[in-house]
Formats: sequence, structure tokens, C-alpha cells
Amino acid sequence: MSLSWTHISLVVKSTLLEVQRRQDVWVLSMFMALFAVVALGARLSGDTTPATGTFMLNLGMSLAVFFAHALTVLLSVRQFPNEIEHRTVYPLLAKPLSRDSLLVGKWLACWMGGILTFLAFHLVALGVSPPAQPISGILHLQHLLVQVVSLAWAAGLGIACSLCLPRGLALGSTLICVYTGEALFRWLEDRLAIMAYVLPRFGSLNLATRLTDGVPPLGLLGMGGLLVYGSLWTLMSLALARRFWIWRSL
Amino acid sequence: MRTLGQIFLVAKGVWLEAIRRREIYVIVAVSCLFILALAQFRFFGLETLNKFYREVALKIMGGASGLTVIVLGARQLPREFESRTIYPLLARPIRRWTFLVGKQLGVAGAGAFCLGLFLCLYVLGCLMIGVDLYPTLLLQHTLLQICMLLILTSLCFLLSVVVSFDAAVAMGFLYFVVSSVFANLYLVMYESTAGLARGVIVALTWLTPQLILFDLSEKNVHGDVWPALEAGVIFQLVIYAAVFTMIHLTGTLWIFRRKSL
Amino acid sequence: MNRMLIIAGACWLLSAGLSSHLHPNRYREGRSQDPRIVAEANESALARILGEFRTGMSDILFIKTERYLHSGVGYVPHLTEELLSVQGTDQGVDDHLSEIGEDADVFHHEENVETLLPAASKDYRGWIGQMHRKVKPWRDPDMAHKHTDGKELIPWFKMMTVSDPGYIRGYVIGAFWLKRYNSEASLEFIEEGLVHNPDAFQLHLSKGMLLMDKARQLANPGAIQWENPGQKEILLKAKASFQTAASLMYDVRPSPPAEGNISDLPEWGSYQETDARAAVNMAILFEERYGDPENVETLRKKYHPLFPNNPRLKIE
Repeated sequence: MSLSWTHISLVVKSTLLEVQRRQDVWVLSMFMALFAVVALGARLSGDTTPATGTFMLNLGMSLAVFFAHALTVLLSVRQFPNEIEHRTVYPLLAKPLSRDSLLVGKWLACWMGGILTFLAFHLVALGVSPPAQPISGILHLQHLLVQVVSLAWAAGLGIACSLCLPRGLALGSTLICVYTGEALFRWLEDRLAIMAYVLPRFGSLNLATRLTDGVPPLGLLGMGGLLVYGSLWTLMSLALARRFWIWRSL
Repeated sequence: MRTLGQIFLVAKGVWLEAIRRREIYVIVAVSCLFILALAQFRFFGLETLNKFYREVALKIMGGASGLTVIVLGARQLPREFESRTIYPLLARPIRRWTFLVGKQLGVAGAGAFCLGLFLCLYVLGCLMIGVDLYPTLLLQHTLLQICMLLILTSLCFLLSVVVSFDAAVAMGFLYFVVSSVFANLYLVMYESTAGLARGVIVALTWLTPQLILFDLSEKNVHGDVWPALEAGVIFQLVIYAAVFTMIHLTGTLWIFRRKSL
Repeated sequence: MNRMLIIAGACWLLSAGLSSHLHPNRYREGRSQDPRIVAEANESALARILGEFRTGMSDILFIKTERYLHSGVGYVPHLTEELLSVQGTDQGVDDHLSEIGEDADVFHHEENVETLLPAASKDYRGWIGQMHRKVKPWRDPDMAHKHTDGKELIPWFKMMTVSDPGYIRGYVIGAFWLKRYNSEASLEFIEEGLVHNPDAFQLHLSKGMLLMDKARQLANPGAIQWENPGQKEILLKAKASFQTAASLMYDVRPSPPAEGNISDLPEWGSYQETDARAAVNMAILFEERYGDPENVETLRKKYHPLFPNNPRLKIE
């Protein structure tokens, strides 16, 4: 495995520039802008209680998680197919830029794009929601931390799928894993536990509802378990992505 | 006659493209699976639980048809410009408005086809589990949904010549999904505002298409209580849809004419 | 390159092992499970703006309950969950609901409740408003409400409990509606809830009530014959459930505040207080019928401080 951090940082920079140019984030910002308009409309009506504020905050935080993952998946799934389709991968690899550096750079860029989007939307949710019931600061930090891991996982999974499946199927599969894994797990848990446990559970890394429900923060074991869980899946996704990428003939 | 033939040819091109596009298959296949799978759900051995199936199935039908039309419609014009296939088309000669109407027919037709397919599966599911159908309400809902698809298609065309493809899909999708939220927002904010703000709300209400008027799913879900709509109401809604479709297409044509090729 | 596959496989297996221990979103007594808070949030202007768009399952269930009971008409939320939370010992609720037959009877609310869609006189939208009222289920707010029963809500309660097995009220209310159509299934539903929530006193209370209903059905409808052998076998199981319910309730009921009502405490609503009283009453009733007089006295002494005004708990 040959990694050059200079090359990686260049790949990250160029990918993030491309993201900015493609206006993807601005498009998703429209959705959060709508949320802000709805929240302000509710505030204007004067009908706001702490319960309403909590309701709105939960909605905003859930949307922040939803859109950040959507953007991360959209970004990650098209990185390699686009480079291959437009044949821009050849000059990159001739630089010399190793395949590993390109993979890690692309993954980091998608991850960072997701984190920035998540933080921005999360701040909007906090800012425009009416005053809510008290929430735990520690659990809030825990939520932010596990979401960072979750976005790394989503980026890795998107890249891995894009390297072994056609573009549309890769996008569909990744989105299904991200948004329905937890629901499938809950449905299967009582029926076929072994099948349930192998499913990707992005939902377990979403603590937004736990936060707004006023439930105490997770203990060290619980938090550690979530971080390790997300990291294992991220590592698995990246290992598969590397496997597919190294052997891909261009 | 010749113009009609040209419109039909352009539409046929859209249908052929729709058949080739795998995303459409994924949307349609997943939706069909969901609708059929839903019919297999049994809750506590009770055979007569109707509303859950009707509600979820109708939502899937509406959502999938809308998504199909947005994905297909938003890419029509940008793709023709990017691949420069617009030049031979306009050199035929085929007028720009003919081209546009043909695309409209093609996309809306594809959407209507998907809707028809889902409808057949929905009816099949209803028959399998012995759920009441309320055929008049169902047919009225289907007709209104087709009208909604016409508005959505023309809106996506307009958006696609104003903003990028991704932005057009996102804005079209946003408007489709949250049109009911907009309607409620106007109602609530009208009560809390006065003067110019109220004027803006009234203007937005009338100048933007109210897609909620084309959704009869709630009456279908509770069809044991609600009768079908009067013919006059359906007629008025069809005219409303036609007006907005024409407005969007006229806007698109105006921008199209001014666009340097 | 097989090394990558081995790494991937190892990570997958390890994560599967970890997954069985990870349930960060499985908890009880969250705000979204408190019907008072859910009702307050869903009665707000914000909820009106969002319509049926919700992210929380408890909010979705609240909306569906309102809509389905009113045949789709969207009223400003007014059905209190107290109405739906009672265990069935409230004769008033049973009488009220027995009025609803196959042809939904009309009954009047004392207060006028506004519809979410305004009437023509209050709607600035003119023709659009008129079409909106035609297309959506709508009744003039001055007209009496038309209620249907809650049978069609059962799938939503099932979805609720699948999505959140810790949502006790989902099992209680779902079983309440289900018992009218399939009492065995209702009991199974509660048992399923007890698997996930073994120390939820409301579920043990529900189980006891359902077993009582089951016993009633063995003889003349509505008649409990305490010494009927067939009924007695079931009623003894009900006794065990009521005892467990009362005992668990005793452990979790908070101390009454110095001022105000215990029902006003954030962690203990009026519906829980009603269930608590029912659990104690039924535990003592069944102990009187099938147990030891000394045990009856012990129970009275134990629960009297909690409900000093309850005549059944009068200490001799």
C-alpha cells in the first residue's frame, strides 16, 4: 500500500472544488432553507411551546442527518465512475499518483464534504428552532461524534459499491443500506436474529431522537461500542473498495 | 397532421429512452415489489383491515410516478443541448414548440404508463386481500394524478432551462414532496401577517400550482364514508392543470428561443 | 489481494457480534413517548404547517389516530389520549365506544372544534380553497363529528411497536382496539410487549384485563363466575398479572409533589395514575376472591399510603 499525504491532500482539494462547482450542496441547502422558512413561520404565528421547540429541533436534526448522508452517498458513488468515464483517471495515475492515494483522497473528500454539510445543517436546525426542552450537552457531543463516523462509513460504502456495480445500482444499493438498514434490522431481529445482526445499521448511529427525548447520555461502553461498530464497517467498506479498485482494469 | 406526427415522433424518442434508462426500472420495480408485498401483510389474522394497505399503496404509487417524471423530465432538454442532438432535430424542420410539446407528451405519457402499471398492481392487491375498491373514486384519483404529472413535467422543463440538471431535479422533487407543506404554510402565515405580507401570500397561492388539489388518496382511503367528486369539480381541476402546464411550457419556450445553441 | 477480503470479512463478523449489543435508541420514558408532549407538539401551528409530514413514529401514530377516527377529516387535535389510554375498566369509555357500530353512529362533542382546512368564510383562497375542501375529506366544523372505531389503526400500532419495541402505550392501546375483534391476538400482542418490556406494569395490567375478558367469554357474556372451574384457571393467571402489575407500579411510582397533583409530574401522567389505581384495585379484588385474608390486609397496608382516599384500601 503506497500512500503519499501530499497527493492525498491534492486529491481532496480538487474533489471538494468540484463539489462546490457542481452546486450539490446548494441544492440540498434549498431543503434546509425550506425548514428554516417553516420554523420561522411557526415562530411568527406565536404558537411555540418548549414541546413544539423540541419537535422542531428533532425534525431539523433528523433532516441534517438525512441530507448529509444523501450528499455523502451522491458524492462518493460518482467519484470513480465519472473519472473513468471522462478518462481523467489516466493522467491522474500517470502523475504518478498511486491508486491507493487516489482512493483515500476521494474517500476523505466525500467524508469531509458530508461532515461540513452535516455541521452546517445541524447549526441551522439549532439556530432556527424555537426554544426547546433541555437537552444533554454530553449526548449532543456524542451524537456529533457518531455522525462523523457514520458519514465516513457512508462515503466508504458508496465508493465500494460504485467500483463493483453499475452507477444506478450502486446509488440505489447504498441509499437502501443507509436509510433502511435499521428498519430491516428491527423487523428481522425477532424473526431471524443472525440475519439481522449482519445488516448495516446506520440508524443506530443516529442519536438525534435520543437527544431530543431527554434521555441520559450513553455510557463509555455504549459510546465506544457505537464508534467501534461504525469504524469496523468503514474499514470493511474501504477494504472492499481497495480490492475492487486495485484489480480494476482501466 | 404533420405537426401531430412530429409531436408523436419526439414523444416516441422519449419513450424509447425511458425504456433504456435503468433508473426508471429500479423505481418501477421497487415500487411494484412494495405494493405487492404490502398485500401480503396480515395483521393479527384480521382479514378486513383495508385502510393501511390503501394508504401506503396509494402513497407509493403517487411518489414513484412523480419521481419517474421528475428524473425523466429534468434531463430531457439539458441532455439534448449537451449531446448537441438538438441541432438535427430543429433542422428537420421541427418547430421548437412542437419539440417541446412532444417531449411533454413523452414524459407525461411515461409517467402515466407507470401510474397505470401501479394501478393494476394496486387493484390486483385489493382483489387478493378482499379490500374494497371504490372504483369511481379510484379512477378520479388516477385522472387527477395524470393532470398532476402534466404540471410536474412542464415545471421540470422550465426548471431545467433555468438551473442545472441537479438543481432542477432537486427543486422539482422538493416542490412535489412538500407542496402540501407550502399550502399549510400559506394558511398559517396568512393568519399571522397583514398588509404586504398577506399580498405576497395570496400571490404565491395563485401563481404556484397547488399539487394538493390533485391528490384524492385520502378520500380513497376512507372511501366507505366519502362519495366520488362531481363531474364539474373534475372538469375545473383539469382546466386548472392545463392552464399551469401551458404557463410552464410557454415560459420554457420563451427561454428556449433566447438560448443560443 | 485476498488480504483485503479477509479484512473485510473479519470486520463484518466483528460488527455482527457487536450489533447484538447495540441498542442506543431502545429506551423508555422518552419525551416522544409521553402522550401529553406528543399531543402538545401536534396541536401547534408548526404541526399544522407540516400536515402529515413527520419524522417520529409516535407523531405519525398521533396523526393517524386523529385522521382515522374522523374518517380522514383533519380537525385541530382534540381527542385526548386519556380516552384511549384507559385499560377498559372505565365503564364510561366502554359505553361511549359501544355506541359505534358497523354504521358509525354520530355523537356530539360539547365544544366546536375547528378543521385544519378553514371553512369558506375564513378561507382567503377563494376557488382554490373550495376545490381543496372538495378533494380532501372535510366537514363543516359546525356539524357533528362522525367517528369510526379504531380497528383500522391496528396496523399502525403494530408498525409502531416494530419500530420502537419500548413504546408501551403502543401495545396497550393497540391491544385495546384489537380485543374487540380477536381477543387471542390481543393477548399475544401484549405478551410480545412483555418480552421487550418485562417490567412495564401497564402491560401486566393489560394482560390481566384481557385474561378477565377471556374468562368472561367462557360463560355468559359479561359474567364472571369466580368458582366456575374453567374460568377460575384463567382468573388465577389474571390474579398473578395484577399482582405483578401492582408490585412493579409500586417500585416506579414517584412520590407525590408537596404541591399539586402527581399527574402533573413530567414523569407520571394522569393516564399512568389511572393505570396505577386500576392495578392496585384489581390486585386486591383478586386477592380477596382467591387469596388469603392476611395477604389482603398486607396489600392494603402496602398500597394505602399511595392512595389514601381509596375505599378499597381502607385499613381495619
